[in-house]
Order: sequence, then structure tokens, then C-alpha cells
Amino acid sequence: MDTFFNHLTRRKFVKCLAAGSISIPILMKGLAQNLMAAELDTRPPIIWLKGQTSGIHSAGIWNFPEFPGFMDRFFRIMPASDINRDFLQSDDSEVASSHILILEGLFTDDPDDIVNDLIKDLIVVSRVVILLGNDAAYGKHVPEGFMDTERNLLYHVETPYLKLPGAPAHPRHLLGVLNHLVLYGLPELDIFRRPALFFTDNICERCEYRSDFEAGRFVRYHGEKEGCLYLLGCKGPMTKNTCPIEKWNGTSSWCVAAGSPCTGCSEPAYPVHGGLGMYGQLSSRDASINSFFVRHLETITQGTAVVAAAAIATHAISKRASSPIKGQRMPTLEDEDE
Amino acid sequence: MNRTIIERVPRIEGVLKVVQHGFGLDKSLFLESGRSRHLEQSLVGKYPLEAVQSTQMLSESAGMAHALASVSALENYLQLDPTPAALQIRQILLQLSTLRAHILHFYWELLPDYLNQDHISVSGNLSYFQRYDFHPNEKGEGDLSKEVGSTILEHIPEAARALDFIQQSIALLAGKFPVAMNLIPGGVTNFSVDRALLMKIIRNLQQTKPFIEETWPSDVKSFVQDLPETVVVPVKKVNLISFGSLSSGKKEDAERFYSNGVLIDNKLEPINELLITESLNHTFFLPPGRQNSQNQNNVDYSKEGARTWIRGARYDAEPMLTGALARMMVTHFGGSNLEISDLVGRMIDDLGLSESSPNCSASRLLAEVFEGRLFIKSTLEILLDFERNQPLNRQTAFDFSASGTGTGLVESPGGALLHQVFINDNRITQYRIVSSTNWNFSTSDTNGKRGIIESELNASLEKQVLSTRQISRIIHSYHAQIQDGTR
Repeated sequence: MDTFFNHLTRRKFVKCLAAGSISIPILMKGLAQNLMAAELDTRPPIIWLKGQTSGIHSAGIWNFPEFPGFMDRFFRIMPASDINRDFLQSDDSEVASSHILILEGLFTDDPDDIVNDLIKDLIVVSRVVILLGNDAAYGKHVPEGFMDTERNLLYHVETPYLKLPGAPAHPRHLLGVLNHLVLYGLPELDIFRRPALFFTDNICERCEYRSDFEAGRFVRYHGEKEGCLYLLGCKGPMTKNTCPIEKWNGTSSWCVAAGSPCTGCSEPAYPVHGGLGMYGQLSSRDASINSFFVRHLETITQGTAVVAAAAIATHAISKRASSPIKGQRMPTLEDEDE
Repeated sequence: MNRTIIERVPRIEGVLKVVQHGFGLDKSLFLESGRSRHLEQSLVGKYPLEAVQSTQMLSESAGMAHALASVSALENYLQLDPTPAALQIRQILLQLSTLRAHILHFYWELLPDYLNQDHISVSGNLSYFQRYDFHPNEKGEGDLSKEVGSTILEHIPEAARALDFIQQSIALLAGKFPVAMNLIPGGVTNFSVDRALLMKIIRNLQQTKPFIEETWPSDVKSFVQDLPETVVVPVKKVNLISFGSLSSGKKEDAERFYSNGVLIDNKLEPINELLITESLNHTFFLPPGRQNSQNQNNVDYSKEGARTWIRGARYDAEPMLTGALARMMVTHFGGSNLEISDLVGRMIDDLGLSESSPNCSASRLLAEVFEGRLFIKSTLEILLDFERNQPLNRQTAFDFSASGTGTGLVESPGGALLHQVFINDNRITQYRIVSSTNWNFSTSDTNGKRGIIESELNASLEKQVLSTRQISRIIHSYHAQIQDGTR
């Protein structure tokens, strides 16, 4: 392992991270070696500012027991209660002007809100801003009374920013990005400003039920059987994320493995998905289906139904016309008396 | 004249502000909440199954309970009962998520209020509080003694490991944590509940069992013994509500743990859902039937006297305490579970409380510990007895085309949680949530009756001058999932 990490180039690092081929503990150990080799004499400060949030994006971190120690060793998380006007004007200007700013949750448009007052100034002096979770990352469906973080706070400043969306966001993405920032700077981003190393491949391409998808073997209703959940509205074909390889909470489990269609929770269109909703079925074009059978499934089904109905009707008519009436009892006088 | 005492209470879900009204003898405290996400309105027009997913985003600690209440409401609408095997899996999920919430509550939300730099200098482990906005101050009044505080702090890595094991166990069944993906009307979607999976969960829980059965109870016991003020009962008269346990899927122990009911003036009554109402007094919501002409919805940011988005839940116009203590007391009075009655009886005697006034920080914390021990034992029993060949759901497609309604009642870690759904033509036409936050964190209603925590804060204020730390301690002694209440 020492040999491997001694030669860990950025290219190799990104490849390993994106493929999920190195576990969190190994990743931490390897990066620790690299950080020490890079002779970083200061721990990059992190300011983790929470707006209105339920905390779902942080919960997964408990599944990486090494996380607190690692973060403590190589980063310096500032308690949010210490972040105020005095901090911005303090002697510790290096910290105040070189921090990594994590924004989690929704931020109100209330001018009297103390966080609202501070956040704009913090963004301007940040080294980079990470928008953690869908609330911070995607402003399209922000409820009334809250800001679209990107449009209202980040469009007009030069501070670079990136998004780690999801419901919840994957803790491994946060860890990977923090380390990339320290070792190699800002990672390559996709058109939605998500790190390309995590958001390049479709869920469907790496799903365990991919062969069922190709063969047109689909689950028809929730809980029917194990298999491809495309007909139940699975958004795997159009969702870019690493769930099938990284799984969740340090286990071998993830949404599709538990029998639930992917809801596309890290896509900007979530949860509306252009009117389809979480469980609306994608069209074959949206799903980029190559299989002839799947593309024409509906037509084939309708065609088969029509042919079957016609056959049954023809059979019934011909049967009635040609066969003698059997099993009918002629009415008797006793019946009439009754 | 109002003065902000705490701009933002740290280490809770959502936003909560504490404000003082008036001065001198006339002063009082009230709670202001963060804004509403209008989740209930945003669900209107959606396919009903989406509610199961969307409502889980409201809370890290109570997300599982929201999912279960939501799916129960859909089952109530569909008139579809979950299979016994599915009920067992749901029972495991709810028990484990409640257990996790209680551990997090004690070690990460409440404990830091009683720690100072002395404790940290002995034990370290500050890195475990990184995301919890904890900055240890110098030694202050009411802090834990150096010995007790340091000892409890030394157990933090063990508590973190317990959270890891519990979350893993939930994720193995539910797909991921804290958002469960396997719940559907009539059951669960899992297909690989094989021997290996069950054994993996059992091993996880066996590893964390000593912490849950010994370390955590011993920490809470030392905590209570070291802090006599936690046994003080600030408000003598309190009414209690509990929705009871989920059915375990076995006829003989359908009410295995908790009875449902309301305890009003020490008299136990069955729950009548129609008596659960919500006060809009001091909220930004307009009365039913009125609409804001500017934004065409039912909220008004400039409503006179408005200060919170937490609607005040009331039962028969009375504020009610809900949570682990309420669950235990209601069951104790109902007499359906001798083990719980025995635990409650001994706890009340040991703390020197009375059955008619049991509500103090110590009893609430101990009730959570007792619940944790019962839940780990029960979960392991279910896992060991689990029959793998039973159907996990009703194997049927869902028909949401008819017009109708459904209600789901579940006990979340913080207490009674109600979901009510109205459906027509495959779409949600109305959605209603009443969470534990609406019961405990509500402000005063039109009858002048305050919610549980506001009452406790003001009763304490009448006896002494409260510091911000003392106020924070009172708030943190309850499960504070504010976004649950503002939605």
C-alpha cells in the first residue's frame, strides 16, 4: 500500500475515487501520507455553515469512524457560533480569507437573519464554496421565503463553488472533494458544477439489474419481484451518481438493492423530473434504451393485446356458429309450474 | 418590548430563537422558529407514494417515523394491511432509528451544555463534535464535575461506534440511512432478507449491545446523580399523549411495548383523533378559509403578533407532553406491560418524584435509556425469530384513483406523530402533519395555554434568573427537531 500511495498521481487518485475501488480507510491513510509528503504546515480551515436543515446530509458521516480524527488532523473546522463580524475582521485574517466554506440547508431571504447578514461577506473571502445537499445546491424548487443560494449568493462573485447534491448527499463525495481541494485544487466539474469524478456515469450503467433492463425483464408493480425497476419510474437511466458502486452507510446496500426505483435525487430536476415525479416512467428516449424490445414494448404489448382480442372474438363467433348447443336442458312442465 | 436571548439554539435540527418579552417581574420567554418549507403544500398534486420519501427529509432523527406514518396513512386509505413479516421489519427500523436518536440526543445535543474546557483537557475527543457547533467555555455554574464529565466524554468514541453500527443495520434493510427506500403500502420491498443479511445485522447489534445496556445507562445515571437540578419538576401538572407501539405482527403481543392513550388529570383515556387540533395563534398562518391576496396562499409574513411557524398541537384544547417519558407513563397507567410499569415505578421512587408530576430532565433522559434497552433486546429477538419464507408485501399494485383519506399514527423518537393524506385521482389533494415538535415546542394558543417547553422555561424563570446556558439546557433536554414542526 505504501508503494501504491507513494506514486498516487492526481490521475490515479481521480480514477480510484470515481471507480470506488479504494475504501474510505485506505483512502484516508493514503491521503494522509500524501498530505504529509506535501508538507502542509497549516490545516486548511473549514467553516460549515448550516441554514435551515434537518441534518440528513451529515448523518452518513457516522459510518466512517475514522472521519473525526482524520478531519481533525488535516483540517480545522471552525464552530459556527464563532463565526461572526468580529471573526471576519479579526487578526486571524489568514483563516478568515482562506477557508473552505460548506453551505448546508436553506438560507432565508430575511435581512434580519444573522446568518443572512454574514454569509455574503464569508463567500467573498472564501477559497471555495461547497454546496452540500439539494437544498443548497439546487434553487429551482426553493420554497417561498428562502434564497436560491447559487443565483442570489454565488453568481455575482468570483469565488469558485461546486455542488454535492443528493437526498442525502453522499459523505464519501464530501471527503473526496475536500482531499482533492487540498492536494490538487478544484476538481473538474460537470455542467451542473458537480465533481465529474462522482457524477459522470449513469446509475443504470452500473446497476446490478442492468442485464434485466437490456433483456426487457421488468418489475411491474412495487414488491412484485426482484429485477429492473424501470417501469416503476426508476430514474437510473438519466441519473449520474456513484450509488451502485459506493453503496450507502458502509454497507452493500443502496436504493435499488432494497427494491426501490432510483428517484434521481442528485439531479437538478429532482423531485419534479419535468412533471414525471419520483415514480413517473421515463420515455424510452429519455432512458436512452437501445434494445428494440424495450423501445417498442408498449407497441408490442398493445399489438399483442389487439391480436389476442381479435383471435378470441373470431374463435367465439366461429364456435357459436358451428358447434351444437350442448348441456342445455329443455324446459319442462314442472319448471313452468314453479 | 422584546429582546433576543438566544439568536440561534445550536445543535438542533432546524432553527429556534429564544426571545424575552417585557422586563422585571413581567418578563416572559417565548420561542420563535425558523421559516416553513411549506412541505405540506408542495405535496399537493403529487403521486401519493412521493409523500413517503419527501416527508423523511424533514428530520434526521425522526425521518424513519415520518416514512412509517406516511406509509400507514396510505395503507389506511387503501385499506391494505401490511404483512406480518413486513411489520417485523418496520418494527426493527423504527426501534433502531429511535435508539439512534436517543444516543445522539444525550451525547451530542444535551451533554455539551454541561461540559467545559476542564473536561476537554482531560478527555479530548473534541473532534467528535466537529459538526455540532460546540465550543467549550470556561467552567460555569451547573456544569458536570470534572470527574463525571471526563468519564462520560471518554465514552464518546464508543457512542459514535454505536451510531455507526445502528445506521449500518438500518441501511441493510432500508437501502440507506437516514432516508429509507423500502417502505410501500402493504409491506416492504426487500427481497434479499437471507440468513447472511440477518446475521450481519445481529452481529452489528451484538457489538453495540454492551454500550446500550451498560455504558449509556451508567453515563446517564452518573449525569443525573451529579446534577440534582435535573430532578426538579418545574411544571407540576402535565398531560401526556402516546400513540403506542407499532403492531409487531404477532397477535399475542400486538401491544408489546406501549399502549396508546391520553393521560389527562391522571386519568387515562383512549385517543380520539378528532380531538387533535392545531392552534394558529402567533403563527404566520392565516385562519382556514382566508388567503393572502399578495401570494395567494395561507400565510402572511406581516401578521400581527406572529412569531413562529410551529402550529400548536392540542388535544381537546389541552397542551400535551409527548416523548419517551409520555409513552412509558401512558403504558404504566394502562397496565399493559408489567416490565415497563416496574421500570417506571422504580424510576419515580429513585428520583423522588410522584406519578402525577413525573416530568423533569432526569426522568425524560432515563425513559430514553430504558426504551433503548428494551428496543435492542426486542430487535434482536425479532431478528433471531424472523421467518424468512413469509411474504414481505401484499403483491398487489396500488390503486389511488378513488377519492378518500387516510391517517397514520406513529411514535417518533420525540413523540406522537400524525400524518393525514387526502387523495383523489392518483394525486394528493391535501396533506397534514402533526409532529412531536408541534406538541412540545408550540407557543401559547388563543386560550393563553403555552406549549410544554415554553411553560417550563417560564416556570423556571419565575423561580430564578435564567442564563442562556440554562435555557439551552432546558431546550436540549427535549428532542428538538424544529424543522419537523415548521415543515
